[in-house]
Amino acid sequence: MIKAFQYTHQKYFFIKLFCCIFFISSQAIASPVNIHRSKDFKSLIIQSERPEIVICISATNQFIKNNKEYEQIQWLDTTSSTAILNEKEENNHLIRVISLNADVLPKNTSFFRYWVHAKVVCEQVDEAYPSLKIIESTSNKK
Amino acid sequence: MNKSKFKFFICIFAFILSIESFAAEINGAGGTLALPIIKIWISKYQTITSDKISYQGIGSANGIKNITAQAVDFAITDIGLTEAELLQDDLIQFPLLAGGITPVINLPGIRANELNLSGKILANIYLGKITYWDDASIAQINPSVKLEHIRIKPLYRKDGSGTSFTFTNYLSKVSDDWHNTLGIGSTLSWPSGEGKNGNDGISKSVLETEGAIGYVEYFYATNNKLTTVRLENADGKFIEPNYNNFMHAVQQAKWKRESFYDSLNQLPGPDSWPIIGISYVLIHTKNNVSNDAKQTLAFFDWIFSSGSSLAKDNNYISFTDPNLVKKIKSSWKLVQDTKGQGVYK
Repeated sequence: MIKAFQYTHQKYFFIKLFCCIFFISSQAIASPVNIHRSKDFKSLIIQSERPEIVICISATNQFIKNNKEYEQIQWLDTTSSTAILNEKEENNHLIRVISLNADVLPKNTSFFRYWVHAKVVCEQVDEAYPSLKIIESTSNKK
Repeated sequence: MNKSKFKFFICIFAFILSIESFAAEINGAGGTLALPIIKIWISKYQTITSDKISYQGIGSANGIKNITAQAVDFAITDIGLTEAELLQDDLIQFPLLAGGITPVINLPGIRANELNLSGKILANIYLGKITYWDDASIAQINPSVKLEHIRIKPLYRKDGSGTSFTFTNYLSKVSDDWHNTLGIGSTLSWPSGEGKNGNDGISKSVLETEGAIGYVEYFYATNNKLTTVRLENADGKFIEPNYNNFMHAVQQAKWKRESFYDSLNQLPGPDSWPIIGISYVLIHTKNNVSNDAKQTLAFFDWIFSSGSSLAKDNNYISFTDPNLVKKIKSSWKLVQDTKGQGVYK
């Protein structure tokens, strides 16, 4: 009797353990890739991010913190390798444009929430802190 | 212990302390573009001072990382930082030298400066669109050169490199395809080729690999006896890399920004070499160990006053214009010690 109880108890313990592991791992798989989240300029440099795009990543992290439209941004593991920086001089002004791929989570009140693919475009005029815009991709809800 | 013995030990102790405070050990790290001349300068400087200076060529991006982490007293980077970037980390930046960046090739039977290349062709080679040396576009601008059907093996820097930053800045200026797909980068997802570390790594691989093409600072090309090419400049003229042609481009620098950030690529003039790298020094403005910061600035002071002929001997261009040097030294007044006191008078 006692043995049977112990066996059942053990069985339930393993079922519970399995459920826990399954739940945690499924959450991990579903969670977005969150590299560089809320990292500042210095942390990103020390983390070996491309120095020339760090100002745009850190400016965007800051921008999202106080933003009415977006709740979160998730940088992708390809963000760094697909980033495009270009610069030009126009009428004696130095203009640098950095574009980065990311996913953003728009703020809304509905139950279903979608991550949306977006392009972050930072424009730095005459070496000032960059201004940025987030351009959502229309066809890409996750 | 009697009084005289006590005095003797006090003197010895004071002597050791004085050696410690005068013979500073200064550490720097960063780009490999300037590494050869930095080594030469350090070696010369140490014949006139007891200060010990070391410099590690670990690539510009790692140099920035090291100065940000305050692991070194100064960094040298060919990835210029803008004012907004410098302010994020309390850094000052000033230009130290400029050097010509040149494509180098390994093609049997082709001598130095015999082959003509244009920016668009270079971009198409690195984009993987031109894959053989006898491609029609290369043959068209080299009517008198016998080109063999050898596969092109592009080599690029795999470390975070200021030389790559400058080279891709040039490619971005001369090729719309490059501009739209890859842009400027210290590291990139290069569409074709193989990555190597440092200017030295590229030089060695070009020497060893038939059909290879790479890009290095001119010192590495001459020192390793690599085959350089004639490159089309902004005026549409094919010119060879040499000190005078680098100088024609560097002389056009305006240094109008507080950060001294500038690009000297693809500047006009019939003799202007189209790819010029600028090596900048980065130093923290705050919380410096007073003596180390003083000795660091003393080293750069010496370079500006006495280093230019050594630079010229090695085909580097150092900056001697009194107005520029005055502006640079004026920026040093921002460098403070841990007590907030300026270290440069």
